Amino acid sequence: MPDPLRSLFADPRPLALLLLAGLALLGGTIARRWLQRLRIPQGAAYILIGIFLGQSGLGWISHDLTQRFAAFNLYALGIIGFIIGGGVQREFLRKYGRQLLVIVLSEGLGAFILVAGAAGLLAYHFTQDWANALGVGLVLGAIAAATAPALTLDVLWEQKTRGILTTTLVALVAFDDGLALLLYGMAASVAAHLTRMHAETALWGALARAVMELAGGVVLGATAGWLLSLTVERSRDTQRATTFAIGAVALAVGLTLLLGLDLILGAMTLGLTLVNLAPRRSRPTFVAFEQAAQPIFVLFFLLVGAELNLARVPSWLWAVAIAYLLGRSAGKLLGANLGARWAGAAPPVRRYLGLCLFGQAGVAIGLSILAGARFSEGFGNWVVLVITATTLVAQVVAPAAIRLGVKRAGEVGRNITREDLVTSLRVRDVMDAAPPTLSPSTPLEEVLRTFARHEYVSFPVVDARGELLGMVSFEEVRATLAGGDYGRLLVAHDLLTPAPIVLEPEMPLAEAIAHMREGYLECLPVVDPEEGKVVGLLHAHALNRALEAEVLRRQQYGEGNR
Amino acid sequence: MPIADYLSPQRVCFLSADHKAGVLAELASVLASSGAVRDRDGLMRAILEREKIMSTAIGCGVAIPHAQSDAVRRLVMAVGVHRAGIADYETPDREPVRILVMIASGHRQQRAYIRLLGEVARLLKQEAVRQQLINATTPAQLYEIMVKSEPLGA
Repeated sequence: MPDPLRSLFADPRPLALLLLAGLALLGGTIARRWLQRLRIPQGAAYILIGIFLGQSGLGWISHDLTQRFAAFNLYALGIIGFIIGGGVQREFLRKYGRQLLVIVLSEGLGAFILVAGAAGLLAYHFTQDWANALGVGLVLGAIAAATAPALTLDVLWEQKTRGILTTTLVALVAFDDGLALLLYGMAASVAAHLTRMHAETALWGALARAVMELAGGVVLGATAGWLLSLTVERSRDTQRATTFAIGAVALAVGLTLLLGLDLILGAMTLGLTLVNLAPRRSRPTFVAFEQAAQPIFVLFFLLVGAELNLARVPSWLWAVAIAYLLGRSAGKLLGANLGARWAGAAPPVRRYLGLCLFGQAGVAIGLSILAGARFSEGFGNWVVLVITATTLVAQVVAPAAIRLGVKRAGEVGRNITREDLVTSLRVRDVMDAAPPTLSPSTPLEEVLRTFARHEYVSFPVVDARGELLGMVSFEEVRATLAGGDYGRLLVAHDLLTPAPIVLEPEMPLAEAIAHMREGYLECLPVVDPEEGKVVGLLHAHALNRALEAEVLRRQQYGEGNR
Repeated sequence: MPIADYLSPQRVCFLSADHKAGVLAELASVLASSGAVRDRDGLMRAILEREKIMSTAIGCGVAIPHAQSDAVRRLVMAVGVHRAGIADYETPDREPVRILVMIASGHRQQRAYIRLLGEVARLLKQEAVRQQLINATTPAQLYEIMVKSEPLGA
């Protein structure tokens, strides 16, 4: 089996590319489920699959094959830049304002500075090559600013969090990646010119060219974004607008490559310009792009894993990877704390925000691929390795850190809905465990008094042993109101109807509610299946009130703080 | 709700037994003759079970034994008069029971059943109606009195 596959993937025709992409997406998604059971997060799972199939594993995905994805990678990064730019809306900025900007800059730059310093110094210490050391430091530092929006939102959702930390975090992760792209653009330009520069020749010339590259990217992106917004604004057809956008991104990526401008910055400016010039009309386009992002990330992770050649990794690079992890964590923690202080953010944000920023995923991987290709002669492979290895670690550590942060901040379990509550409860948890019951000989007068005293619309009738005989519901009692003077003629036994459905205490509440909805039943008896005795009553109105009160209580106080 | 819908001239009679179980059995047999009752013994058991829970005598010499049972096809009633009175029917006022109305129903006519019980109770609350029934000499007269009299407050 391996050999035919290996030869297929080695086929020089385009089919190898398509086969790999198809198998990677399908097989990766299936294998992911399996890895998920081992509690390995999504991104890490795809990287591991890539490592298994790639140069360090079975060798099916060769270096040559991944190289053939170059055009795809560049375009995919253009799309990611475009999406991230599209997240930077004026409305959004106005809403979250200065505070957020201060925090983003301080935690992003905190990670950037510490990682760049630590990684750069270590690299110089081991290689004595200052240009490459500075380059790898700058590029790693830039990538360190990125976080993982999808991973973060997943954890927040899973933990049902709600509160000031959650709100800040959700807004923050959208901007982090933008900052990372910006920093990467600058870092990569500077690094490119530094490494190409010969010894003592003009440093300023190199920097000037770097600035040109960045400014050129911004100008190109802004121009393309403005032109695109004109078409999008004029076209009522969202498909047409999306097609235009796909073309515009490809064109912008192509032009930045042709003119030697910064690709990511160009694509990001394109998205940013479009979203702010045509905020409403461009909405469906961005939604379509976001849907396309998921498979792109899958391929990124797989390819980067496959490219990893563990045998050729210089051992000192592991030290750089550790320095990256430590520097990044320290930078995020410190930067978030200081930024929150400066911005005057609430105490939970100050204390726990840093913990929630360890995530690293697709954007970091994508940037490392970009760096790997651009600096293939120099430090490119170092970046790919360090980012791949640290992403594996971050994928495991970050969710745990976020959980800890939101738990300490007391925001877990507050974003609970009625549905969440229903799925977590059993009939026993919400039933009236001591409902008024009637005996068969209870006279009508007493039955009427029972109805008057309680809001229930029916009552269980039990025999001397507590076993259910049936229900007396308001329907039957109402018939007696028209009939007049019964005296002692009627007793509960005469009003009895069989219970339409009998609930059990351990039955999931959702099932009980389904029964009530289907049968338009307001009141159902709960009977112990072993003893046959009535142990409770479930009443729709009382149930709704209890659920609403519990939802409100948990939203205010979170889980566990009763 | 006209009583005539549930009573027929064949289901009124003078009772001959001199104890509660006996007259109840007589009335159950009368009801069973109507075709509305699937199983006379089943009906009898339901009637006795109901009497065990609480006597259906309501005072002034009136009892309305009643039951719901699967042995009954549809809501139906029978009337019996016992001039001498039944002494062993537990009554609230110690007065022997002279007028008995048996009402039987299946499980599906709950509301009509309850209304009919109320109707009959109101009818027999009237002293004049009770007196006429006790003074009647033929089943045909009994039937006339039952279906022609207006229940009190209707």
